[in-house]
Amino acid sequence: MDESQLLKGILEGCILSIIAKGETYGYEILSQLEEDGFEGLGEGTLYPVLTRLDKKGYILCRKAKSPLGPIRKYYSITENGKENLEKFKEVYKKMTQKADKILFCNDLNEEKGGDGIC
Amino acid sequence: MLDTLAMAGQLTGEYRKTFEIADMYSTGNGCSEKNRDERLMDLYDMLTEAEKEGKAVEKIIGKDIEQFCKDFFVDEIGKFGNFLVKAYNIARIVFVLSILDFVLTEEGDMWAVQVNVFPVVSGLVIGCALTVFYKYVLQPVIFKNKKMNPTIHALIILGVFVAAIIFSSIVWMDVEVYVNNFTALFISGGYILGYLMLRTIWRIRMYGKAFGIHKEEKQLKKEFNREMDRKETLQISAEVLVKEFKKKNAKNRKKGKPELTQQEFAEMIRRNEEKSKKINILLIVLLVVIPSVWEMLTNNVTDGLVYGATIAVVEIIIWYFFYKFTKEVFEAQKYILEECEKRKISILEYVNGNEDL
Repeated sequence: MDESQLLKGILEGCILSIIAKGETYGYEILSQLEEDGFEGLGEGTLYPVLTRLDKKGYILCRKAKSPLGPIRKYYSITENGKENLEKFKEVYKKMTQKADKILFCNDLNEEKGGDGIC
Repeated sequence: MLDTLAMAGQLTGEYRKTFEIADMYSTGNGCSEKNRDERLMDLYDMLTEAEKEGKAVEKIIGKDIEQFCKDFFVDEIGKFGNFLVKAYNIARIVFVLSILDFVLTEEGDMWAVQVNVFPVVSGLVIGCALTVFYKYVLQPVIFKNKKMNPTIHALIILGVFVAAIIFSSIVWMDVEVYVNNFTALFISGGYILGYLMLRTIWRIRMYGKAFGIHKEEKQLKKEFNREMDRKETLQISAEVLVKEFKKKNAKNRKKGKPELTQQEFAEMIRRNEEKSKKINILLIVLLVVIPSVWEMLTNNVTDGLVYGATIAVVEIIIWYFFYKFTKEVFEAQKYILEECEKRKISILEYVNGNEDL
């Protein structure tokens, strides 16, 4: 199965959530995503998402010199972004509940001998 | 514009190779200079940190570098936006040429002047041909041939560019496409005006102001480039110092003389700097005085003085640029030697274990 389509939808929310924790930058976001199990994403995937979030006005981008020398982009969440994140969480919760029901109901019922949660 | 060669020089191994490939790819993929610089800086930042932490390059760019480059170097303003910017650049050239034709015309009726726009047309054709060559010939090689580096890449592009110009000037030598100068001026001027108005509106909507939006960024970039230059000079100077030190002592050993200590070597470098300064000044004086005196003797004193003053200005400008680099190298060498003295380490130890380099 092609994971990229599924990933595309949730990545924006996940990245927004990481930025919501405090001002951060590309490498840190990538490391955080990797730590949380999104391995092998790479900057090629991250960068377009950040650009999209910036264009939508969900994040603010500040440029400053990093401790190692290069000019680094620091991202922080905007009020608009916070609102969007809350909405995303709600929608995601509802969607996954619905999808869980459809995808795993039969499996669970079979496992529990017909008295499953569904 | 970023000094990407100097940036690559600050990275090593796979990190460097990745940066070089991305740099080469971005040169001809149609990305605007601003976007290209921005993305390369982001990548450089990530790779620098990854190298410091020992994180694999794959974790930054994924497994497929070609796919990474395609995803990463996408112009924010899109193909249409890019086209508008390129058309603006062409319009500016046409506008300046038309103005020049107006000013320089010897015809009585300046509105009847005809201007040959074929150089612009041929430039567009060459540009398109180069884009095709880049996309279908050179770009695939960047990802496949590991020996390809930015210098070879730049030389190939330059070579093909020069060849295309020579070819076009031979084949199209007699081709001329005349347009009324007023028409050229009107169309290009109109486009420039329209473009600038659109850009102003867009900037105000995006940033709330029309001017000075990238001022801070430009300053940061300038400082970064200066820092890169300093690092590059330090690196070159350190290499030269190590080589010179070894060479000098090898010579001394051969002659049966005692080897130089680092302090003695530092003193020698200081003396060399003084010597170089004196030789440079002497050279300038000779290059100015001899021709001036010759002019005075063969013509007259006033001519000689004017001639002398003119070449003095020219020589000093040329000398300034050449000497500037030499001076920077000497400064860097002095800095390294002073650091070595301060830390009580050898030059080699400094080169091998210094974060400055």
